Amino acid sequence: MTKQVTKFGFFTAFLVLSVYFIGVASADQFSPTWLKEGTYVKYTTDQVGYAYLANNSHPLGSDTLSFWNATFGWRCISINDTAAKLAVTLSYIGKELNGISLGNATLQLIGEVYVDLSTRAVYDLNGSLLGTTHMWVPANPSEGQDVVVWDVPPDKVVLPAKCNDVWFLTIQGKQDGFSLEGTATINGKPRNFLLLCDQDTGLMVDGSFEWDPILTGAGVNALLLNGLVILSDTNITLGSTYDPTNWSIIITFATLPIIAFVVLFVSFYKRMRKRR
Amino acid sequence: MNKSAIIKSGSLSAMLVAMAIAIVIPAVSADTSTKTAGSYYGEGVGAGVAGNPSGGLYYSCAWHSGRWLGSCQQYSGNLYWTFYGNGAVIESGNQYTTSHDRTGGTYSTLGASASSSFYDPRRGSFSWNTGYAGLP
Repeated sequence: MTKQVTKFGFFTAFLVLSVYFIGVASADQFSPTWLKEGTYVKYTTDQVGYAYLANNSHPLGSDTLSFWNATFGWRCISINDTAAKLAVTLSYIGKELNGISLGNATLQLIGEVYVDLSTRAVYDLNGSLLGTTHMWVPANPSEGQDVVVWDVPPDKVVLPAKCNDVWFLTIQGKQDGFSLEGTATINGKPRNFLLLCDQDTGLMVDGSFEWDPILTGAGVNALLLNGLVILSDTNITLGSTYDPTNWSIIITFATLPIIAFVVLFVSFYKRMRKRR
Repeated sequence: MNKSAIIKSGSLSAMLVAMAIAIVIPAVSADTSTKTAGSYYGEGVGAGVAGNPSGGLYYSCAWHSGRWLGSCQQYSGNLYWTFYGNGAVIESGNQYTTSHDRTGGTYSTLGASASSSFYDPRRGSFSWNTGYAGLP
């Protein structure tokens, strides 16, 4: 009877631990472990840029904004096990709004959104689903691995990661990276994805920031930026720096002589003991 | 500014002018606008829009997107373009090409954007973006 209880205990523990480890592995795969309260990211461009801003009272449904020196990004203002609340900001020197001068005033657009940590689904404060953000994607994909960049039924967009020889110069030095590129139909409209992401965090460090549901949360339907858009400030550690050295080959070749030496030494030692 | 930088800058300007001319010639009386981005090694992307203005609308509209490699080692992928009319996407796509154009239609506002990523062993991977939404 005691033996059976012990067996049952081991079996239960095995089941519980299996479920736990599968859960932990899944959570690690999809949730950004670097996202904490206070985490922020800022991107900057110093050239003239344009934005289409949502405006239901405009006959076209949007305002046309032109600006200089845009800094945009997001900050995590609260987070729990399943979702994060992000504050989205677009700061700029205003040039024109619908052709009317803004007198180079320093202006800001702000918004707040909720992001589901496992699916990256973005919701506005009323709970309306805006889409799947690609401001970050799952980290550490392998070459050719499919990465989901949009998943709002009926549209699901999966792009293969390109990792080989992808690295960036960032404010934190050289970083390993991967790219995701493609065009897909979303809500009946073609949409481009051009993402250059950090390998260790999945954070978008370069590429086209033309549209994203997080930006939609600040009323920005499209962001037409010029020049190089740089990741100018963040408190996220991008991870290991790029190192083109193939350490697996080096370690393999360094280990082989040691193994050979140990094998020879053991066989020599055995022979010596036999002789004695 | 060193000599090669001047040459690169000059070639960039020449390409920009050629692009602008390509847009203007089909519609001589059109309003046109172009924008380019770049570059580290003479590479870059450009986009432009044109249209004949009349009564607050643009007729015979044209959009252009393009890229060039300069002395950069290689394109990382395709040219990406998005063309806007009345603030909404009317065409978006990508192709391993150096330019893409569209003509036709009547709109109140026009916009275009182009993006391309590049790779060079001196800088790694990077992308240039060009956006223009300047008409009116």
